[in-house]
Parts: sequence; structure tokens; C-alpha cells
Amino acid sequence: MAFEIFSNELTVAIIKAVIFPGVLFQLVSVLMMMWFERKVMARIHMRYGPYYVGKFGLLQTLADLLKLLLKEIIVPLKSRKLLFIAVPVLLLASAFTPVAVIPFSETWYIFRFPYSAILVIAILSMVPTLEFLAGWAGGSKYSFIGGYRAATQQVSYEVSLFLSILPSVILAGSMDLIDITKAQNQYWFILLAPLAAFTYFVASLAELERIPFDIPEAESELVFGWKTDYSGILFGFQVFASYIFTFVEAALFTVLFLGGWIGPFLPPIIWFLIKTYLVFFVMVVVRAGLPRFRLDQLLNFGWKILFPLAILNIFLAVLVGDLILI
Amino acid sequence: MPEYKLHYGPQHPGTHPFRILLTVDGDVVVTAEPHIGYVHRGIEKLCEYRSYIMNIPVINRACFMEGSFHEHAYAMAVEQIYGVEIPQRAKYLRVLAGELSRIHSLLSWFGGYVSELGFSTMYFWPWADREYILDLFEELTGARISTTYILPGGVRWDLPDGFEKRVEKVMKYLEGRLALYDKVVFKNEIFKARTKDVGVLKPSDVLKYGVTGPMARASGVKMDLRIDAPYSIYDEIEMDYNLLDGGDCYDRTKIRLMDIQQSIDIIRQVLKKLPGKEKVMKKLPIKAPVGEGYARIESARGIHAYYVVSNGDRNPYRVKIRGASFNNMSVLPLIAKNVKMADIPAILGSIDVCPADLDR
Repeated sequence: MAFEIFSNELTVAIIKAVIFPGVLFQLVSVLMMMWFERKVMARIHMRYGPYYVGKFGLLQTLADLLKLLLKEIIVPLKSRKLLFIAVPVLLLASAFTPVAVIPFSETWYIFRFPYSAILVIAILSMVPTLEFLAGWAGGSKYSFIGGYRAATQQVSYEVSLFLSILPSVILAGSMDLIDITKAQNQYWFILLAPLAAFTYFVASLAELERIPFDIPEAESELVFGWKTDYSGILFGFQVFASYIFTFVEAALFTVLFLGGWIGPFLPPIIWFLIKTYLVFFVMVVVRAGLPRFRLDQLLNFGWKILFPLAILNIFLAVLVGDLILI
Repeated sequence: MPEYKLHYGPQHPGTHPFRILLTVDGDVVVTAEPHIGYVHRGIEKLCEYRSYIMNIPVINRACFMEGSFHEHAYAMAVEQIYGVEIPQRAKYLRVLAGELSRIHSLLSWFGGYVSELGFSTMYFWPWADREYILDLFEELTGARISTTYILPGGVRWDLPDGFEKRVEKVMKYLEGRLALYDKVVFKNEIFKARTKDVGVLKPSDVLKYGVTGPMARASGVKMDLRIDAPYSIYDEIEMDYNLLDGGDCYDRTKIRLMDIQQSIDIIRQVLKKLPGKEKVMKKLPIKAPVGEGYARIESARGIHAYYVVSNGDRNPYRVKIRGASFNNMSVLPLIAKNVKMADIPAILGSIDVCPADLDR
């Protein structure tokens, strides 16, 4: 029977992928994250932020999205046209993919995979390639410089990011994000490996190109980096992708160090979302409170400080694992 | 990658309306060549078609941030032609307006500069503080930016009632804010890394290129017109040179905040020594005698000088403006040589050019 392939499990997975935690939830989440970021930034700046559209300006980001949808997509004459249009779409697709393996609770995930921690990192490591291609396809000098800066920065911080997830993997003895969360029933790993949490957080800021590491799009130098030539919804795709990546990295931080869905009283999914958005809140505060590095300073910091620390973390994790967890 | 040319501006979020032609090798800027003239309005020529007093609204648009300084220099030059001495109280009020204007000009520069380095919060805080100064201006003159307060012959209005108290309140608030900025910006490691030893200007080049104002003093050159050649009532004010000797972007930022503190001190002294009530405006005849006048003042950016020639007509025969920004900008190719691409906004910002004053 042809209908047998639509087994119960697959149907549930598809529904999850479409509604929660998949596409629909991510769309709402991104709009809310943007609103939240703008509002928090504004309060730190002594401004009001979004105010007029909807209650507390909640619908402002939706209005912005509609504006982007209605705008003309301008493809520059000198750009490589197919690539230029394909990159934002690919970027958005690769942003949605890691959500599939993130466990929102013990049972609520789209797809379980024994090496899911590596899978997330692998998908994240596609990003610099795509951003470099976007910068190159744009055909302008500014976007090209932005593209190669993005590639340099992300490739060098990826190493630290990957090394920083290893302590949690070692402590849990598994690469499955669900097993890693379960292993934190007693102690959250941020208590056992605080240094790893720090290096992960810094490296993820660099991966996400957020201040103080927003060098690829430093607007006072490069206009808008590799996004300079994009307009309309193609630009919107990139913004969406970057916020979904932010969500993914914050969720990964929650899973690896903050005990995922574990918490008293409230349902596990709520706990997971609270922790994830708390990590995002810290990112926003960091953004409001720091200037931006220079590229060479960033690379120095990445390779000379963060990378050795990340390696040190692995030894520390082995040590801590031997002393405490046994 | 071979060397390539990069047009930095005029439509670029990091520049004002001027263009800098960068020759870039990888990530290193080999040469930077400023191309100016995008906002040239011909102010000097415009002045020849208006009477002396009608020129004021034109003159204070030479740079919208420091209209008071331009008005002040122009008014002093014109008074030389007329050969009049203005009332003492008017002189004090001119200095008061000038120093308030210096504070708001420097605060807005500070916000813009630090935010160009990616510190978004520091854009809004100094600009919010600046609003209090603009409120004072609104109370004093009726306008916030283009105040048109200083005229040849005096100033337009006397102080409103209770103005001194409100000024003191704002000054006290600003002192608190300056302490905060010292903590948030000048002790910030990333800010230090971005600005220390970047774009170093040597004292010998300061004199060679005619650089003035905070830029010269950050390089360790003792140069402050308010002390060297005191005009108006600056000889009655106690003040000292603000000096730093690094000559890099960090010191250029720091010295401007020291200038704000100095202005606060000067404003306090002015309010204390303010002479009793008298007429603050001396009416001048429309037609000026034949002659010429030259006056210069220390503005927030350096020395502004006005040379006004009269041939006995209602209008000046010639008005020549020396803007501080033009000379300060001329050192850009010198200090932005073989620097990283990311240092360009840091260096350009630290020069504090006012493009309107650059082109005039």
C-alpha cells in the first residue's frame, strides 16, 4: 500500500517540522526575537524602541517583513545572478535544518540522531562558504571584502566553537543532544565546565557576526558587508537566517551547558524556551555594551587566546569528569 | 590580490558628504586621498550680497554644529570695521553661548565617533545629554541649532530669569555623565585596542599643516587661542592648556572630553563674573566705514578666522573664512597611511571634520 510510507511517526515528524519547533514557530520566534532585541537595545539606549504598531510595538517586525516582501528585488548588473539569488535561499534552508535535531523536551524533537551535536556544527560550518559566495556574487568591492572577512572570521572561530562543545560531550559520554541533556540531571555542565561555556559563548558570537565581532558587516567601513547589494525579501531571508542561527546557537548553549529542558514545575518545553531566550538576552546586552574589534585583533584573540582555552577545556573536562561524576 | 581603489563615500554610512579615495592592498590601506566639495554652498560669495547683519543666518550655517563660533568670529571682525566696543555683559554672554555650543558640538562628535567603532549605545547617550544644552539654547535664543544669537554690536537677548540656575543644573548633570563615559568608554579594552597608537600625528606635522584645536593639543602642541591671544573676555577667565602627548585616536578622543570639562568650568566662571544688567546690543549703522577686520576664535574644532573687507557699502566687499576642518582634514593622507581598513573610520572620525565647514 502506498499509504504505508506515511507512518504515524513520519506524520508526526512532518507536523512538528511545519508547526513546532519547525517553520511556523521559527518565523514567529524570529519576529519576536527581533522585537525583543530592538526593545532591549532601545531601553539601554534610553529610547522607547518599537512603539506604534501593535501593543508595545509587537507587530513592528511583522510590518517590516511585509515591507521587505513588497519591495522590488534588485539584482545588480555585474552580479553573478543565479548565485546571487540562490545564496539567501540556501542560507535560510541551512538555518532551518539544525532545528530538526534540537530536543525541546525528552520526547519533543523532529529527528533523533546519535551524532546530533556534530550534525549541528557541520551545518553551521556551511555558513562561511555561503556568505563568501554571497559577497563574491554581489560583484561589488564592499560586499566582496565583507564576504572574505566573514569567511576568515567564521573559519577561525569554528575551530574554537567545535572544541568548546567537546567538554559537554566528554562529560555526558555521548554525542546525542538528548543524552547530553539527560546527563545534566544532577549538575548543569555550566557548573562543571564554566570555561567551556565562556569559550562557546564567545565563539558563537563571532560565528553569528554579532557585536563585538560584527566585522563582516561593519557599517562604518563596509556599508553592510556581504549583504550590501541585497534588497527586498532576499535581504529579508538573510536577516531571518541570521536570527534562526542565533536561536540555534542559543538553543545549543542551553542544551550543552544549561541543562536543556530540565527544570522544576513548568513544562519542559517552556523551560527550554526560557533558557534559550535568556542566552539571547545576554547576547543583546553584550551587543549594546561593546564596540567592535578589528579583523587582525579578532584573529589574534581567536587563535592566541580562545583556541588554547578551548583545548585546555577538554583536559579540564576529562579531569572534572574523573573527579566528580564517578 | 592586487591593489585596488575603493571609493569611500560620499554615499557611505561611515563618511560625511565627502569622498575618500582609498588604495587598498588586501586589508591594508596604502593611501587615502580626501576629495571634498560635495556640500560647497559658496557662503563667502553669498555674504557679498547681503548686509552685515543679514549675513548672520548664512554664516552660522557654515557649520551647523558650531554656529555660535562662526557668528562670534564674524561679529568681532565686523566690529573692527565699525570701530565699536560692545558692552561688557554682551561679551560675557557671547562666551557663554560659545562654550555651551562647544559642549554640544563635542558631545555630538563623541557620540558619533564611538558609535562608528560599533558601540551603538554611546551614540544615544551623549546625544541625549546634548538635548539639555539645546534646551538651554532654545530658552536663551528661541532656536536650538541655528541660534543666530551673536550679532555685530552685541547679542540679541539678555538671559531669561533664573537661567543661571538651570545652566548650573545641566553642568552638574554633565559632570556626572563625563565620569560615566570615562568608565564606559575610556576603560573599555576594545576601545583602547581600536584607538591606541592608531593614526599618530607628530607635533612637527601639526605645525607644518596648520592643524589647530583639540587635534593639535592631543599631539602635545601648546595651542589654545583662548590663552595665547585672548579675545573677548577670555583674559579674565582662569584656565589652563589641556594637553596630551600621544597624538593617537585615543588621546584625540580623551582631550575632547577634557575640553567639555574645561568648558563647564569656564561657564561657571562666566556666570559668576557676569556684570550687572545693561543693554546687550549696540545698534550699528547700516553702512559700514571703509576698512577691514580680522578676527579669530578657538572653536570646538580649532581656529576659525574671518577676514572682512568693507568699501563703505551696505554689504561687505569680501568675506574670507578660514575653517578649522579644512586644515585638520589635510593631515588625513599623512596619518592614514599603511593602516588597516578598519582603522579608517577610527582615524577619520578622530579628526572631527565638519563637512559643511570643510567646503563652506
